[in-house]
Amino acid sequence: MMAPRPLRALRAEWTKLRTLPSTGWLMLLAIAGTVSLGCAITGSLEYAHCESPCTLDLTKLSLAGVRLGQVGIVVLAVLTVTAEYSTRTIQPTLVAVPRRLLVVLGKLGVLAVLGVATGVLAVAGSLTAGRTMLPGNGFTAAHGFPALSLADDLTRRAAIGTVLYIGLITLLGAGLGLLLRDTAGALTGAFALLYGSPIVAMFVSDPRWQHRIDRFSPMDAGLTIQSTRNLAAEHIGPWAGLGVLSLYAAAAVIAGLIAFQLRDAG
Amino acid sequence: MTARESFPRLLLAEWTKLRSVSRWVITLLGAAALTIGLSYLAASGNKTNINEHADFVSGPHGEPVADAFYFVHQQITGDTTLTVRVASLTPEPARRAVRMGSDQMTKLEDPSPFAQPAAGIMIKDGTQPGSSYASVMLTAAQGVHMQWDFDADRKGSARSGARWLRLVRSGNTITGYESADGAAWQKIGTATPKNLPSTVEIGFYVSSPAAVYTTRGGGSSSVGDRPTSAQAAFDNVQLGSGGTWHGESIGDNDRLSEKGGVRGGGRVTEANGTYTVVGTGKIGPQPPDDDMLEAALIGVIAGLMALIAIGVLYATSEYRRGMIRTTFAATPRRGRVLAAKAIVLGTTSFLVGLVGVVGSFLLAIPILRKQGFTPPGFPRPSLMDDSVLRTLLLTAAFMAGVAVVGLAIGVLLRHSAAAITITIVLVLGPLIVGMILPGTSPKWLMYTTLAGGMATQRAKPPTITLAEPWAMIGPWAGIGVVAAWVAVTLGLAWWQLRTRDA
Repeated sequence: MMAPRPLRALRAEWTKLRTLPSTGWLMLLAIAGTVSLGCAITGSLEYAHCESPCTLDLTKLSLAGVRLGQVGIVVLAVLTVTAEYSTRTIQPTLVAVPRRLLVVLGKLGVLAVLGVATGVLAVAGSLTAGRTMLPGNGFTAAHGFPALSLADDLTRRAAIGTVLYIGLITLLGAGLGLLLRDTAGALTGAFALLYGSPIVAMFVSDPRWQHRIDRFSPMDAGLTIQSTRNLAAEHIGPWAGLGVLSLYAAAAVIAGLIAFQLRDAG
Repeated sequence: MTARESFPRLLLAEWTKLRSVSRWVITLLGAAALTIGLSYLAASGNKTNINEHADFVSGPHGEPVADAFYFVHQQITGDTTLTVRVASLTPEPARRAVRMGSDQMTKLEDPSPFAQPAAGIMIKDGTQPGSSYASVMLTAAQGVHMQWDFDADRKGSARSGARWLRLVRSGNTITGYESADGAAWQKIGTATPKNLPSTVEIGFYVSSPAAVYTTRGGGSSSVGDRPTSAQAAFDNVQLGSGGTWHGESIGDNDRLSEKGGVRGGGRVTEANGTYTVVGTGKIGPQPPDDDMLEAALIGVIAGLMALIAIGVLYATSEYRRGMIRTTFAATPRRGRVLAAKAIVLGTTSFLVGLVGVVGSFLLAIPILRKQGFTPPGFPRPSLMDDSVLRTLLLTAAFMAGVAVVGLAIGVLLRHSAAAITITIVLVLGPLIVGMILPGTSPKWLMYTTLAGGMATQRAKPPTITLAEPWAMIGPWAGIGVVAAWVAVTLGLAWWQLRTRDA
């Protein structure tokens, strides 16, 4: 007996992604990028060079590699959608599953699962690396830095938040891909959206404007959840920051869905 | 057909390919529009109040300068000659690292001849800070110099130790001399200060610039300074007319003495014709580190993204559509196709970039002037200034260079997504990482990656006192890095075109 239609659509998308060698490589790239930049940062920290009172946010620094690692997952998300257009696979896809909503939901579902899985591995790798390396650099419990642990509420929140961040970034990339149907345009747009604002913030000297940029840019607002110290200095609350990112992701996905429903599959 | 005839045709063919894809034309126009639009919007996010609590005054040309020192002087009218011997100069040792507040800061070494402790003689248009002057001085570490009007500098001998100095005024020119023994004189240079009335102040002085300490990293930077003082002994003071010498501290020394400098800005004592002078302060250019031009060109980063996409697609779309086989059938010499593509794309991107940066300049500068970027801290920039022209042209060249790197990476990888991602990460990644890394370590990232090209947007000399990592290297170094990337990636692409099937 055949499975219900939504499940079949999901399985079809899973098969497509699973059988592409680039999927695995891009996930690996995302995980390796995150963990290796995290290692580079935690490895360069020394308690002896930190002025007392040392207020380094070790959880945030250990997880900072996500800023680089997300590149892999953004490329995966965009390609999953746009590659069907450049190879014209989209036509057989729509012949097999004429209900377009199902196609899109299948793609988004599979991508979200892959994104979250990548996030879990990347976060676990980064935190394990931080936990192993930091005590060797003098960040010990005696100095007021207990080992990074998920038992700590704030660290757990940062870990879960980072996994969700990667999931939302995946949806954002897929939404842009659906909207633009063009690999180059969607990738450029996604990177400009993510990396443009922190660079513009470097140029801008007015603190009010820096505050606005940090509040409303998807990457900075979304990654506020990694903070475990001096939360008052952040421009936006941790969950509100993820909320801002999910608004971006939702806007991209909804606009992409509408475009996908209305347009011919060229 | 000979080679000479065919290359312009090849250029024309590649230009036709570029201009006939309407999506690319829109993106190219969009790149210029994005650059101008973002610059215009972001200019209103830049505000400065540097003129309100300034540590500089306006120089004779209206530029921001520092003018603080201890001056032992008298008034004199008409042509004159002053000779002294600087018997000794003892600068105060400055510590290499200090703590200010919660920051550990390291000393910023400034090799400028205007940033050295010095003892010398001077003719000055009154004692008002910022007035015209000409001086000859013995510096603590760089030998003898002659300077005037806060920006002109002539190097004398590199000797240290006791030195005879002489200034001769004749009409509107002042000539500086030095000597080891007071008998054989060497000319250093001739100065014509902007304002030199017939009655001027003449005398000898000691200056000692504040030690500047900085720290940066984690996305921010901070700067602090500590005043220093120097002591010098002058003897054999000979002036044509014999008036009385009068010691006075020039400039705003209340601020300096508050922070632990010399009380009252300095002092002079005399014994048997030897004057011992203690002084503090700096005489020289004092521009703020913030760069008005850089603030007006924020949008370049947006235009750059669009140009990268065009550059990559210009290469990869030929592969995707199989067009490349037709191209190579028409022109079997593949290196020439690559050269034509690079020239067409580079020229187009340069022109698009130029429109973008000139438009940004014209629109954003008036806004910045409303937000506090006014003289004396920020003299009004003009399109005709050398530094402005250099900045705009080099920034457009940077944008063109990055687009060509995108093209070469596109040829190498034959895959739009990978090529766009790699090129964008090469530009943006080091900027993000460079903001986090502490101290001067990001300098090496700037010297090795495309991000160094961002340095072309600065009209002012490099500094490590700012948070943005590209401010650490000069604009020519920045464009050099981009040129090296263009050469290496095009070379690799050419080699791969020759050895790999299309």
